[in-house]
Amino acid sequence: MLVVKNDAYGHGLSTIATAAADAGIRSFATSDLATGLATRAVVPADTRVLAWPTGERSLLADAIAAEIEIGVGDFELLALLIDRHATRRTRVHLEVDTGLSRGGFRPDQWNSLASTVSAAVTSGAIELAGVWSHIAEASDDDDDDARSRYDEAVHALTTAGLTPGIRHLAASAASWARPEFRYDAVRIGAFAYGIRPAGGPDSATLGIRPIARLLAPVVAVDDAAVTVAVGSRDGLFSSLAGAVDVATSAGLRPLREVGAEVSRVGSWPGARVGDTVEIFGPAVEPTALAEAVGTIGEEVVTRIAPWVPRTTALSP
Amino acid sequence: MSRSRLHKWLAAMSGDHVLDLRHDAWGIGLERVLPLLAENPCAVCVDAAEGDRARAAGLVVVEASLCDNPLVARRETLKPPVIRVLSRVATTKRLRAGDGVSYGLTWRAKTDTTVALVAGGYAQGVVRALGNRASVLVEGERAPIVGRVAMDVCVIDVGSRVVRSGTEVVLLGDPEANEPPVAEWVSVTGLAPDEVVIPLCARGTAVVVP
Repeated sequence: MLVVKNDAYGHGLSTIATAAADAGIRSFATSDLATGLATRAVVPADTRVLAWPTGERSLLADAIAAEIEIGVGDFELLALLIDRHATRRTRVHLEVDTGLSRGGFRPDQWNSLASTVSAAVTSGAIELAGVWSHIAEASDDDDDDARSRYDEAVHALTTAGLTPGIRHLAASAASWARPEFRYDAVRIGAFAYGIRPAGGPDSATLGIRPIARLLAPVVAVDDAAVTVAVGSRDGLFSSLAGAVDVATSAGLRPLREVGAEVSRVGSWPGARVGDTVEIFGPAVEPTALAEAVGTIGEEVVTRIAPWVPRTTALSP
Repeated sequence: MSRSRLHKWLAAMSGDHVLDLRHDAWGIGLERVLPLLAENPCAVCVDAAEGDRARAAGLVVVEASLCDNPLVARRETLKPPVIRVLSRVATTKRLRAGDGVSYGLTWRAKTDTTVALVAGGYAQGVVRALGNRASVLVEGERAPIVGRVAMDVCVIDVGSRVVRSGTEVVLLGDPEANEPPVAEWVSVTGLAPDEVVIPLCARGTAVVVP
């Protein structure tokens, strides 16, 4: 499953979903329902689109009508879906809490969950399309415990006579490092965009590379530095100033200042207005910027403001 | 965004202030902000393509270069308490002592407690560095953000309180009402006030309240 939430991690939902569908991907996942609907609008009809809304209800009927499968982790939403009296059965993915303590049914709820869902499936109100969870990735031992709990949850459902549908537990990191976590599907976000884990294996080891570049045009040149048109208001952390290098046509140069609207980068011979500087991309990975300021590459890419233009180029 | 707070604040501004409304009024939406400025016309700085729109609303449009020059103008912006940043509780969950929360299990409950899942994570501008280091306001009381902030959600500890799903959560607002001030996020993250506020406004939906 390709995860396309938050405008495909800031890359542009329609571009990414269309390209992925062209490449044969037939399974997409997102959190909010609006993104689910926007994905549905650009992918072929036989494509699975899963959304797991966080408290959001207003688009629920539209999403179900558009055959978006719904991730459900609490009895309130589950009851809402069962009681809809819709003409079409809602396909649900039950989220179980295996130790992350965020969304998802807790272990002490699994037996009552199994009986509720069993009755609703029998009556035709819903269809069980999947069972899923998030793991904490604190350590392999913690994740092994989470996987055991996940198996217990699936067992509780099958014991009640249910067929769990698609079982999905792993996101990028575990899908790569822990084959036993793959089950029927994996949810790939970061790695699909070429974003490696902070402090983890490098991109060459993972076989990935960033698919996006943040390119900033040079708008002024003086002896000390060039001024480029990207600033902290565009989502570039001001804390990166003095902490990282960025890529120019003459090689890496220090990112000296990050202002509100513009930033300053170490100059090079022949630098001209109209040149571009790669703030992040294959040369300086988003995760490298993230590591310099104590965060992860996903935050660096999703922070880039919606008004920064996204363009698509075919590259080798 | 509060209309009355905006007017009070504009009235207190002196003549050499410039209201910075670039980036579509910080993501709030010029179409929402410009009508509110009719009663207190002031000097503004807007995105390059929006000058005519601002002038048509009766405002003096100042060049961006002047707006950025602290010697020429005092730049002011639409940060709290003129605006408040709100979210809602999605679900709540009882935890037992020792239960961990969110990626990396960086926080564990010291006693049995209740946590609430709140919509809003780092992709919506709730800076990831705030996990375990900041708090929000829920029904008049502060509640700490516990564990790592995720891409779309964060978790808060509401202790022994009973909080219903749908309850309003104040992420940023007026410190006089015990709402978290921008200064708290600035102090935790080391970021500037505008870069804290703009991503939240750019991803959220702004409404004007009295």
